Amino acid sequence: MKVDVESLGTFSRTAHEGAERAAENLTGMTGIETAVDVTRVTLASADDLAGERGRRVGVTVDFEGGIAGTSLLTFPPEEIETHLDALVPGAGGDESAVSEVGNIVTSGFLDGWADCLGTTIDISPPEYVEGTGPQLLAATEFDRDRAFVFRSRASAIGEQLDFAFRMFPDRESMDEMLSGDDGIPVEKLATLREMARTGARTASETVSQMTGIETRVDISHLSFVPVEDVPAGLSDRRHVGVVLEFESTLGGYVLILFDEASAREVVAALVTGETSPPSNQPPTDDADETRSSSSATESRDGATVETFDGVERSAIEEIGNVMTSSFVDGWANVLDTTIEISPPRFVHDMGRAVAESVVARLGQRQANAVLFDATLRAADRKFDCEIYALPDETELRTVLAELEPGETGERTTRAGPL
Amino acid sequence: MNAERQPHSDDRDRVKVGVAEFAVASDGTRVTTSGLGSCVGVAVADPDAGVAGLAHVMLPETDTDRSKPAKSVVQGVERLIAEIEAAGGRAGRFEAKLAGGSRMFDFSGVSEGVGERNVTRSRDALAERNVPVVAEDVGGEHGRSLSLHPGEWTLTVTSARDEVVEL
Repeated sequence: MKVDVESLGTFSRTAHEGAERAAENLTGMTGIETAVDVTRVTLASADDLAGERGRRVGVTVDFEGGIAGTSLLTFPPEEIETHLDALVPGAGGDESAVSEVGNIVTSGFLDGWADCLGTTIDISPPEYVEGTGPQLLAATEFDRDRAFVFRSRASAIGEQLDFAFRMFPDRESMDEMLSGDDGIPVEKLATLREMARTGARTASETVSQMTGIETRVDISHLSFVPVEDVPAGLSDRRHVGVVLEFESTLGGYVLILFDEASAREVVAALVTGETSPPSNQPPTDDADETRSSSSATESRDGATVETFDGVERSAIEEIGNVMTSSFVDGWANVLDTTIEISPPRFVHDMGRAVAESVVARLGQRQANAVLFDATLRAADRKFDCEIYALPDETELRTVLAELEPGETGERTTRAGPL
Repeated sequence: MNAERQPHSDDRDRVKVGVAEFAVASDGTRVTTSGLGSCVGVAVADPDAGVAGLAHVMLPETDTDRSKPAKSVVQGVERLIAEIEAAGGRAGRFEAKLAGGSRMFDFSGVSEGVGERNVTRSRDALAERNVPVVAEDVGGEHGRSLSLHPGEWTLTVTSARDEVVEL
């Protein structure tokens, strides 16, 4: 299968329209106003849901017709049960109530697709599912042959309720939708993702070595999105970090963004060699792109605005620089090219505004972006660091055309001296 | 339970606008957008009618028509004005306020200055339609969030440093 990034960007829009239809259906049934936060087309992976440790309830629905595959829609159990109980007293814990809502919301998604594709889609009865991410993935009978996942997340306005929707089209369906000879073979995209994942793991090790905070890669995705949809993946809370530009063969940008509390920990470790003791607070469980609203409130409520000047700023620039070097270490070998990165540009601003300023640059040359994103978290404290890589699409395509199948992203060298 | 689609209720008090999108509202319904960096928030109102709209425009020019409606400045301004007219605004009474267009970091190359060009292009596009720009908070090196109140014709700009400017 060859993949035209432009087509995928268009389908990303179709998926987003489906998500809006689904949100309207939920509002129609429950009266809860919901807004679609983010839609992504990502390269499918068996560990897509592995990072989601919280229990969710929902439905899987098989569908066929103009497009065939399986979908998974999930809600947080307590919140959806509370809402259903308010609608139909006593129904809250009832699987059939969840199935009914799930069915209507899923229909909205697929109606959106059917309208955009000018076709009909037949859906089979919903099957109630519950469990953690890996259990839910097993329930969808995930097929490794499926190449892409369309993911949307929506949240209720002013209420603690969200829904996550995933659509796994069959490979034949995607093949038809993406037919074209001048795209990137999907196998090479898989290599690209493995290369980026390996890079993210190396960057995470670098953070652990430099700061003593044990971090790991919590989530990573390779997505295909219209440039204007990239910023929605980040919150508008203040972040601290760096932006770097790929120079030479591969153009594009890398963003490394810490939330303010994590940036303070990093600075403390680098400047004084001390970090705060591990908190009793369990690590955040808000996997996927979910951002906890409580921490947004905390940072907004703070009367004083943290400053990162002088030595603090240098510390962030240094770790951002070394993390980026570790991240792309190994890419040059795989892609058989040289990758040079610019000096880091320090940022301390709304995460979404930083990403938006990057895609406004990239958007002057391309309508859609190949986005690799990874989230680093720590096991023993609240810690959040986002890595975004946005290579120039034309240059990426040229570089991938030269790539031999079977190359892997195994790194060959360690990060630079600390 | 009823699964019929309902139109967006009129009593919602806030409409969110994403990157490259726009929305029009009236009276007490606020229109908000967050995380403006080098993009520009173009607010246009007919103050007498209590109707106003906000476009989150992204690029000075773009040649693709498959994108979101306000990705380019010119399309965004055109569509915003058409929608305000459809909502009861009268062309001769329009006023505009601008915010955004910052330059958060500097890299060399032709993509530089996109924020500044977004602002210039927005002013030009409004001038071409005889819409005076009555207030601005543009440029600088910081992000902004905006909240438009159509009834009062105010545009509240909150910077990444939590400083508030009322336009």
